[in-house]
Amino acid sequence: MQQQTNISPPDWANRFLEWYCHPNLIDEIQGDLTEQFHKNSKNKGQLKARFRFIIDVIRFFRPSSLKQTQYFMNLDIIANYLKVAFRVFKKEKGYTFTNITGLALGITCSLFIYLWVQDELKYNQWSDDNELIHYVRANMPQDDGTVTWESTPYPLKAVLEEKYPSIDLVAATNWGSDIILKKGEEKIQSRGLFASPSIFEIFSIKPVKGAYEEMEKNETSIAISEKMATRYFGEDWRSQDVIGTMVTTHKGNQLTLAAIFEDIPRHSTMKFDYIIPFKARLANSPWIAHWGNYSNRTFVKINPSYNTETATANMQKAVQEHRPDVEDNAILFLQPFADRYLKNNYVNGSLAGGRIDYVRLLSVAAILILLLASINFINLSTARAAKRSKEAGVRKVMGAVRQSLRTQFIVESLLITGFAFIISSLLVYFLLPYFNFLTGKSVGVEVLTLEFVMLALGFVLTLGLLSGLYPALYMARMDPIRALKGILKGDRSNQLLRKGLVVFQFAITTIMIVGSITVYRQIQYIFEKNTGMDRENVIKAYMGDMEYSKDFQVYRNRLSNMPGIQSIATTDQDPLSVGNSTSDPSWPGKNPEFEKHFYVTGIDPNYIPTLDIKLKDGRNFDWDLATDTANYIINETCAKIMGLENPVGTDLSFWENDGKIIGVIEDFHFHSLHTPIEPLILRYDKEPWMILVKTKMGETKEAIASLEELHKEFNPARNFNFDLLDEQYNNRYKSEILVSKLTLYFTAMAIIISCLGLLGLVSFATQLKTKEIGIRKVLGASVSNILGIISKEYLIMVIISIVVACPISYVVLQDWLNGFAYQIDLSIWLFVSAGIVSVLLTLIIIGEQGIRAALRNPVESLRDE
Amino acid sequence: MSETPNLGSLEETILLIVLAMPDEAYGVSVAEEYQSRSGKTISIPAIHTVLTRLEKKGFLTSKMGGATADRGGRKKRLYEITPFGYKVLSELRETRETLWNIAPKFNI
Repeated sequence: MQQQTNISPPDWANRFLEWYCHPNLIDEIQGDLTEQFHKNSKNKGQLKARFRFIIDVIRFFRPSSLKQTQYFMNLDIIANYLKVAFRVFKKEKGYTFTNITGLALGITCSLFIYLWVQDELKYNQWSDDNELIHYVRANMPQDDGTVTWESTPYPLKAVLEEKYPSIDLVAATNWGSDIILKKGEEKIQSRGLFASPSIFEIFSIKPVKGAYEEMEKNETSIAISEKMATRYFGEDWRSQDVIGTMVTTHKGNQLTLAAIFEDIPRHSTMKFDYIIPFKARLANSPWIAHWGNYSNRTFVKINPSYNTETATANMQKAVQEHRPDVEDNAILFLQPFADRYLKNNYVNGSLAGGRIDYVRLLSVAAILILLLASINFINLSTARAAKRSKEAGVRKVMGAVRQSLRTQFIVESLLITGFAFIISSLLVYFLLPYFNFLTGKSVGVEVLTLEFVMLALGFVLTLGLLSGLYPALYMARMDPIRALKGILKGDRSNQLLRKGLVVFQFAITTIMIVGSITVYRQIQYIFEKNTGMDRENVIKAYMGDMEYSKDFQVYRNRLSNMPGIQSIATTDQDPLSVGNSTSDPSWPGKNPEFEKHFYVTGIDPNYIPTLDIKLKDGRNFDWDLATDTANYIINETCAKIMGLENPVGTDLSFWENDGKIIGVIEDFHFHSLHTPIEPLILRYDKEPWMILVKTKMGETKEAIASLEELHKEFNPARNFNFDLLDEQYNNRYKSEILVSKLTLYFTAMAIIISCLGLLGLVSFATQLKTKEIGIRKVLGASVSNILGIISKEYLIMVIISIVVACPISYVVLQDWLNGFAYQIDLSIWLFVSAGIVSVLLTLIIIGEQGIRAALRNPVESLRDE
Repeated sequence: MSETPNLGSLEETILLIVLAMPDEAYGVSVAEEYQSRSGKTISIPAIHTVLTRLEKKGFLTSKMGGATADRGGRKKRLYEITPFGYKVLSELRETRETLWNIAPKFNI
């Protein structure tokens, strides 16, 4: 018997079934399910039977088996709810307008942020085995902390392949290069990589035509993307027999076409339109195969039985254990490919965020703005409750139950959020092009998937329910007698909540004001900062196929006489991001334990004057001194680190070249302002690839024309490319500029929303106080007295909110500023001015309403009723 | 033809099963019979959907039957084929047989 009672379907599922099921159907449904349950528990065990039972109960929860009343709510009642709702909207246009506008603005902002965040999160997610793909990075311990490198030496590839079980596949790639293919007379330029053919297997890139095996054997082979195939072979390349044919570069090299691969998606940090086997690069530049040459990138696919941490633990000492020539204390680690875009900022050897910070920041902003809008809604609705209390009272007296009153208010709030949603959808639709322009993205209609629409709709309904819930519960709970008498003033908890919400709202607004001012000022600081070199009017052009000792000398002579050109210098590195570094340099008196990487860049004697870098001591390189190619110029930081009082004349040697320091320059920023200035050594270099051209003031256009003219003559095979140094400098802070613009917009939104809310509240409060004001006026109160009465309460709230906001914003902003090595100070005036703005806004809002109330003729206000 | 409601293949099988088990066709029994005949499993909610649909289309009628302890005291809904349902089924069978008769033998 005991056994018998134990075996029964889950009680709650049964109760749920009985709750929803139509009485005509309960017999067959519950009977069948129970019978099935007993059979199942005999055959398959109780656990499975219970599970089955629950699943079936849920599956029976469908319109055909529901009780009539539950889904078929009386249409008349719904119609009545809607009718009343629209009457209320019509009667209180201002209130409806405030609510809908506030919500629509809030939803629009959040939708845009959602789109932006979604787009950011899409990066590097395209590969099938994403969780296995990793990028090998190296932490280099130095005396003053660890630096994290993106480059690794080539011999690492073989070591990882053979010695470490955690690594399945390894590919070495360079940093990208251009290739120019000749198709008859036409020249087609595209960007791609020298890479080990295993790159395709690592990233699961399938061949559309051909196969990659050929590339392992033949180093003069090439694989191209579908896009490039279309450019080279025409639209109908799929029907042509192109695999195995020869393609010719502009220098006359022949490459066998091994395969055509799928295009790399747009949301990728790694893009290439062709791959040439890495071995071809090794043949041209054999020094790359040296352990000491950290010059290429290494991608790996880890064994599926490992994860990022365990695989890192397995291979982190690969360089230390296998580098044969010298001791190398590089500690390797694996960075998931999926993290390359958003989490790529390493400070002192450990991950310190990256773009993800901005993604988080804006997500928080989106939530806050929505919150502000919902608070408006709740505040206005509860405030209005006083006015509608009579309506609720009459309804109750007439027999309305709590449920129907609640539904009435929830229907109203759902309607308002519904309208707001429709408006904001239209806004998003029409503002999308502008949004794309602003953020540099190309979000299109494809984001409007069913999933997204359902999500947005579900979200809006929830928002409507949540913000309607409190007012609805509050109204439904009201005592009808008191409501009819109009006694509502005593409801303190309600007022307190409203005040609390206003304080919260204004605190957020103040934080956003302080935030946007700070971000804006920091960006201005970056743009106006003297970085130690003159980046105005400098054009970057490229050597291309010119040889320095021959064609370039002719080129330089001709160019210097052409319109717009002031001076011409050459270098082997971008002056805004010098990448080469070495720990090799030695000088007399160097501590043997000393470990620090020095940045190195090759220049010519025109470099320093062209960029207007100040020479502090010693002299510049001299064209006519042949011995100067062995000499060096260092920056101040370098002199400091080397511990030299009088560096000029000191011996300095590295890379098997013994020379002397002939000059010291003042520090200039050759990296972003996020990082402090590093030691830099300038050497006289005769193998540059970059040309820096200083233009005459205001003659940039002429200079570009001159450059292009000569380019056609000296580099006929290549496209003409140039960059403006100051533009490039500004581009470096693109995400900061974007965030600064976005915070500015969102702050404006927050201000508007909060002010709308306050406006609603104040206008409401003055309405309630109409009679009080009238009586006071009759008794002799002045306009300013009355204004004081109205505004005191709100001013106190706003001041409290400012007090709350200041410390919070200080902490958050200082944290953000700490990401810059060179930053502005957060002065007290910043907070004061933000506070003043908040108070002024409040005063304007209150003043407008208050003066209107105070000027009203008391006869009018006391006459009604 | 156009007046005859459409009969899907699952519906046809279930209709045949109801025809084959007079006086005993209700949710659980039909589901079991279907499982043992076709080897495929089917859930009670799915069987209910099919049976109700067949009744709506006029192929089946139903009445409430007896309760057992196994069913927690709940009654069964017993299904029975209508003459119309029988007619549609036999028409389908005739059409098929004619087609089978004219089809050439197929050697596998």
